[in-house]
Amino acid sequence: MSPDEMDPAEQRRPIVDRRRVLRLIMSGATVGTAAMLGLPVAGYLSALEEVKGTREVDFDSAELGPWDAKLVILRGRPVSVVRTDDGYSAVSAVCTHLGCIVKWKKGRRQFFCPCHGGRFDVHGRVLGGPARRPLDPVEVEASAEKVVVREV
Amino acid sequence: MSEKSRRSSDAVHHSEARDGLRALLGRRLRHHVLPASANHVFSLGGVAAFLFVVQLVTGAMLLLHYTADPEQAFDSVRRIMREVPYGWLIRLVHVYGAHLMVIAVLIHFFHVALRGSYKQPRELTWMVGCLLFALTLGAALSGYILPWTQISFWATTTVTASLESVPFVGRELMSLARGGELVGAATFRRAFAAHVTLIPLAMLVLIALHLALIQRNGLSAAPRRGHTTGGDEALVPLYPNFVIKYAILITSSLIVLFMLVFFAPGTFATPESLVPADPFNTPAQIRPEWYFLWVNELAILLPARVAYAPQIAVLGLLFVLPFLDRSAQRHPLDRPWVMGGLILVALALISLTLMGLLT
Repeated sequence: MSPDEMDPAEQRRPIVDRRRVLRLIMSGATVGTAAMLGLPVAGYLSALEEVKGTREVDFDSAELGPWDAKLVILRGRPVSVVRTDDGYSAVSAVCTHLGCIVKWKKGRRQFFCPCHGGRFDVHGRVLGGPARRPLDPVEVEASAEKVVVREV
Repeated sequence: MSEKSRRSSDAVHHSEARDGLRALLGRRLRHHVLPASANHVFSLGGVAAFLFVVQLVTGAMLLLHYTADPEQAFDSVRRIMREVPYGWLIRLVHVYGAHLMVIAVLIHFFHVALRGSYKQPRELTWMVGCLLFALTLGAALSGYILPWTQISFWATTTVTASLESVPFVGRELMSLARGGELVGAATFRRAFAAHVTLIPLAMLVLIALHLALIQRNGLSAAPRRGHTTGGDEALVPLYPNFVIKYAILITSSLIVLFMLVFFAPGTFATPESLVPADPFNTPAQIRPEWYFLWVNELAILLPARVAYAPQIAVLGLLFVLPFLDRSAQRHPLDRPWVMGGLILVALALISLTLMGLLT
């Protein structure tokens, strides 16, 4: 619509009037206040507890007989160490399905998850059940007297 | 009139002139009308609300003796059960009140869906009801974390672990829910905050909204085959007709509750709910409470990445049901697809729960 076609009363109205400016300022202030309050609240809610604990554990090699398993705790997480025919295998004992702790079944030489029936071999490879990833490997070093397990 | 009764009558008039409560209640109870076909099953929503009040009261009482710390929570619950006078009564009413509330909400949910009472103009009432259903399950889950038993710990572990399967933000979501990488004291504190304040507050607001919407839109009349409305059904006042039905069902639910408390207190208890949490030992054959057995069975059958996808999809579809089923027909036989879907959902829930109980 050209200025000539506009109603005289319309022509007198400024393009940016006071009401609009005030509305913009109020909206900006509201958004700014929400951000000022929201950021500290978001920071507060997202503060996470750090995992504490040792990154290396050792024990006497005599504690484990052939195909026996021992549970050690590395940085708050259980690790299962099994003595095999040709050395030691250490894997995270946390099932990769939904986080339950797997148990070593010496007779079957398998790890078994009591929650949903997952099965893993001595090296953590999936043998059956709903888990899709193998158990996380853990570094293990063995000498005649000592077995050392450390976080990768 | 005796002096005493004259004084109490004056006191009533005195307060009525200031708050108008009697007139308000009179209007609400006597003038509010409902379809005559509204039977006892309609009261189940009210029973759920009543049980919510029971949970609030018993929960507040338990807080007086409960210690909100993972190292001491289990012992404090044991102390409530064995040493605090009638602590066992308060705690068992709280526990079985929760079970009955889940049952009441479930039946109410299916009853409303069957009657097609989610249709216009009650879409918002339905959606608020779905949120209340989700919050009821959330309250139940966060509640049984608090005794910090084996079932508390491992239910928390598996439920929070499943969040990792959410694309892109899974790991962050899991850490946020746990308060850290591992389930521990931070997780416990979050469950406590959720169970004691966040969820009850949200439920109070939503219950008020739900009731306000019901008040505004009224109860739906009985659906009639081939008709879009209930037709010319007789209306009856809330008081005394419907109030009596509410009272009967609430009394019945209290009878069931106290029968469980006094005669079968171990009905829903599992061995893992009587042993303190051990973060390095998952008990053999651990199972969640009966209302989450179906979730557990799906987690056994499906890979972790999609373990919770079916229930999220179904709950999402149910939430938007009023917008999917837009036909004006309300009779079950006039809505074959919706009825088929609901029956499938009900059968799946029942079968998965039975599988969890029997295997």
